[in-house]
Amino acid sequence: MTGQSTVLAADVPFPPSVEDFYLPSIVPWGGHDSYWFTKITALLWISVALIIIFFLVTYRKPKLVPTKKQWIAESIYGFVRNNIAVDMLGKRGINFAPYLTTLFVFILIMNFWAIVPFAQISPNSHIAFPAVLAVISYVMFIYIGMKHHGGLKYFKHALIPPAPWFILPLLIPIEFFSTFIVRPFSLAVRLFANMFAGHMLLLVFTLGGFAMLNANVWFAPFSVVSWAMTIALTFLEFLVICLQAYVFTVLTASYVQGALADEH
Amino acid sequence: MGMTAVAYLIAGMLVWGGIGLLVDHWVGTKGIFAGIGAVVGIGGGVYLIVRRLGA
Repeated sequence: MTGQSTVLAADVPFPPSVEDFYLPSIVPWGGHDSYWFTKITALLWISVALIIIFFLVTYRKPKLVPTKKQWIAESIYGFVRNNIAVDMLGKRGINFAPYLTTLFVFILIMNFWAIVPFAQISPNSHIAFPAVLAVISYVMFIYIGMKHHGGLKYFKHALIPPAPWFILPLLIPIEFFSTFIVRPFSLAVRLFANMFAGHMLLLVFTLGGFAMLNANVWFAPFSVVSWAMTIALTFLEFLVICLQAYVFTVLTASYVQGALADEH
Repeated sequence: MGMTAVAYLIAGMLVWGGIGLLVDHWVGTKGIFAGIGAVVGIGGGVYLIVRRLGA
């Protein structure tokens, strides 16, 4: 092997591990006792800033015939409002469109860092971020349900299905478990696991290329295959990124729909 | 809607299978109640899907 590739391969540990998700501190630079500001934190604040600035700029002077930027912003809002909020919640969906759009755009941008060169990791691959979003959705649908049905009546409505009394003891625990325990957990884990696995896959194939280059002369040509897979998987990641942002938003809307549903 | 249905099935199995497991632990059997619980639970899950999501 040539000297350069040995040096390159020596730098990249294989296989990747969970340690690769814990990035070095930025402020203080390279510090080992403070991890309050890492690349993850930076990407979070950049995402928030991008979203605020984008929507402020594009909606500053709205024209009747929209400019290109205004058209993009209106398309995103229109998509979430018509295809998610109104589609699932009916007329009341318009009230939820701003929150759902914010949620959709935020998750989309946060996920998108996974395939942006030099960023290459999504903050959502740390479970804290999806967990907080899931808690917001959880508190929101319970609050809306309590407001709509009136306090504890919501829990009666949510937990007691239309069924004969002797079968209720069997059904109520299932209802409780699936509505109030599984929902926030599955929301958070679905998004986190997708972003975590995506980052891990890209790491395996990128670092695997170096590992094979370094292994022996018969493996070296296959490192090209490994890197080609990385490119293919990046496109797959793009699909996953958009899909997961959509799924999270749709499920939040569907939980609100369940909370607003009347007896039928 | 698909998600809700799957959630009911899995929740049914987990809840009643879990309760069965606790009963097993308490009585000292090796898994008979967990098995019965899982079957009963998935039955309840199917019933809930029919009542809540069916026409």
